[in-house]
Amino acid sequence: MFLSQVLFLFCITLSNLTLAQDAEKLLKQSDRARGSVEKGLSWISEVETTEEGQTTKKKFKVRAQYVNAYVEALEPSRNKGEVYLFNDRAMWFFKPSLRKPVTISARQKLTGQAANGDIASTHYARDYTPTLERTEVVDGEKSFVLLLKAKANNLTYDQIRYWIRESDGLAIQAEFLTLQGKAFKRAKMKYDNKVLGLNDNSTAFISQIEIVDAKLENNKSVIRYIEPKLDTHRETLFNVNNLKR
Amino acid sequence: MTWSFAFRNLFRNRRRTVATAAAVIAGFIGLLLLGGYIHRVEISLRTNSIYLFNKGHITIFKKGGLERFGTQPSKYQVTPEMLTQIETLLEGKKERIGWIGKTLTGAGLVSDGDRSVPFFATGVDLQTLKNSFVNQDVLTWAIDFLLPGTTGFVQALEVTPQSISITERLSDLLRKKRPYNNLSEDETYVQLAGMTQYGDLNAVDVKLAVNHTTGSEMLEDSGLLASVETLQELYSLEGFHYIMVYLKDIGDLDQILSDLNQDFTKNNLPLEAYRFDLPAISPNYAGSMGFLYVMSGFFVFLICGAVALSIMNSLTMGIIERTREIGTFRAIGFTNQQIAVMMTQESLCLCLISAALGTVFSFIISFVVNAANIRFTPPGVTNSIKFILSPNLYLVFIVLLIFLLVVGLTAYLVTTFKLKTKIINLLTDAGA
Repeated sequence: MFLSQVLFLFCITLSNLTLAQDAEKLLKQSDRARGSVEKGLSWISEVETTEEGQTTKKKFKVRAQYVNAYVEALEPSRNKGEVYLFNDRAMWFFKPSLRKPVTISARQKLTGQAANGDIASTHYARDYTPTLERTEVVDGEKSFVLLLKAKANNLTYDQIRYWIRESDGLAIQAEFLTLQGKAFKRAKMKYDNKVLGLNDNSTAFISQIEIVDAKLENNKSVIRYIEPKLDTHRETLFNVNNLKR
Repeated sequence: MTWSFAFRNLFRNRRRTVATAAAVIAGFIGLLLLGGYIHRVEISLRTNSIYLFNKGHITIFKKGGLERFGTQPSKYQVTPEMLTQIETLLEGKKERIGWIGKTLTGAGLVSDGDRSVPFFATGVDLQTLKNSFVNQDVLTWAIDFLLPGTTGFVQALEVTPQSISITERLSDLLRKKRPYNNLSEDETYVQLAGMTQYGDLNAVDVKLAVNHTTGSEMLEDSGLLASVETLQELYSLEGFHYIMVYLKDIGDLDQILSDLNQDFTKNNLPLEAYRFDLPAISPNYAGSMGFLYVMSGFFVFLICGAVALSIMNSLTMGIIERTREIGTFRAIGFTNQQIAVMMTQESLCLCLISAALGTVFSFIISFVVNAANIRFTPPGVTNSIKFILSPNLYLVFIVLLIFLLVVGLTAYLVTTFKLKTKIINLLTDAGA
C-alpha cells in the first residue's frame, strides 16, 4: 500500500517535471521564429497604429542579434534618424540632436510605441517561467496554452497567457495580463515569412503581430515584418556609447 | 437712558462682571487669533497658487481641456490663434489686468544617460516667471515657497532658453549634486523624454539651472519647471494647456470672469474660464482651505457656546440677585420687554468692553508670536513655513459682530424667559 502511494507521488512529480520541461521547450522553440536566435537578423518593420479613429504609420529598420537590437526610424520623415537601442532588457532612445541617449526601463515602457516594442520583443523564454495551463483548439488547430510568469520584477508585464500551435510550435496569440490577471492587451501573430538557415527544422519567421487594447478594441497596432534575412552586424552597433553626439 | 443704566449696572457686582468679561475676552482672543491664522494661510496658499503654481486669478482652457488635456493634448490645447482672440477680448479691460500668461504641462522621463526618473513638468512663459518672482504678495506671503536661488531661473532662461529648474528631491533621484554651477558643462545637461501629439517618443536636451519647491508633498518627487517653448518642442505642440489672466485687483475677479465667459459664448469660442480656487484648478488651495474652514467652524461653535453659557450663567445669577429690583421696575410701570432690553444692553456693554480689551491682547499676542519666528510644517507641505498670526480690523469687525449677536441673543432670551414670573412673586422673592 505504502509502496504504491510512493510510486503514485513519484509519477505525479515526474509528470509535472516533464510538463514544465515541455513548456520551457515550447517557449524556446516559439521564440526562435520571432527572432530569438544567436545569428544576426535584419528586417523592415511597419507599424500601423489606430487610436481613437486616427491611424498613423511608421517604418523602422531593425537589426537584431539575440538579446540586442538596433532599431532605426525610417518614416515618417519627422522621426528619421531616431534610434531605439535594446541591450538585453535595457532600452535607449536617441536622436541626432541629443547629447546623450535617454534610458527607458522596462517599467517605464507601458505606453505607446515603446510598449509595442516590448510586446514584440522575442525573449520570453529568458524572461518568463512557463506553465502549461491547458490545450485549446484555435482556428481548428490544437494549441498549448501557457501561462508565463515574470522571472524578474522589473519586466513590463507580470503575466502573459500564450498560445502555441502544436503542429509547428509557433506562438499564435497572447494576452498581456495586469497584476490582477485581467487582459490588458491581446496579440495575434502570423508567420508568412521564411528565413533560410534560421532554425534547424523550420524556416518560418513572423510576418505580423496585431496588438489590440483589451478595453478599447478599436485601438490597435499592427506590426508587419518585411524582408527578414540573416545578416552580420558589427558588435559596436549595439554599444550605447556609440550613440552619443 | 437705558444704555446708561445698563453701563452703570456692570459695576454693581464687579466680581461677576470680571468673570464674565474674562470668558468673553478669552473667546474673543481665541476667535481673532484663529481667524488671523486662517487669514495668513489663505493668503499664503492663494498667492502660491496664483503666482508660484502659475494658475493666475483666472485660468482659461479649451472646452473640455480641464479634464482631457492630459490624454489628448493636441485636441484640447489652446492654440496661438485662440490666445490672440482672448487678448483681443481682454483689450477693453486692459487697465484692470496685470498680464496674460501661458502654461503647458506634461509628463515624461528625465534622463542623464544612466538613469531615468519620471517628471511632471510645468512650462511657463518668461514674462509670468519674471512678474511672479517679484510680486509683492509673493514676497510678503509666499516667500517660504521660494527656495534661495529659485528666482535665478529667470536669468538662467534669458541666457540659456533650455534651462530647467527641478525640485531637490528630483535632483537627488537623478543623483545630481547641487548647486549645478559646480558641475561640468556636460553634467548639467540632461534629457527630457515624452510622448508627442503624434504618439511618438521624443526627447530634448535641457540644462539644469536651479532648484525650486512645488510646496506639495505629492508633487515634490517629480516637479520640473521649464520654459513653455521647451515643452512645446518636447511634445511637438504649438499651443498651451491653459492661459492665465493675472488681475491687478482680486476684487475684479468675478466681474471679469463672468464677462469673459459671456464673451466666449457670444463669439462662439470653444473656451471656458475658471476661478483659480476651484478644486480642479488648485487642489492644494481648495483642499487645505476646506479643511481649515471645517476646523474653524467647529472652533467657532465651541467658543460661541462657551461664551453663551457664561453669559447665561451670569445673567441668571444677576436676575436671581435682582428680583426685588426687577419687581420694583415692573411695579412702577416698566414692561417685561423694556427690562429685557436693558439687561441685554448691559451684556452688550460688557461685550463691547471685552472686545476692545480682547483686540488689544490679540494684537500683542500676535506681535510676540510673529517675533518669535516659530516654524512648522503643515500636513502635505514640503517645507516648513513661518507661523504667522495676522489679525486685522476686518477680522475684529467680523468677530465682534458674531459676539454681539451671540451675547445679545443669549441675554435677551434668558431675561425674557426669567421675567415670565409674576410681579408679586418677584417682589416677595428673598433673592436666594
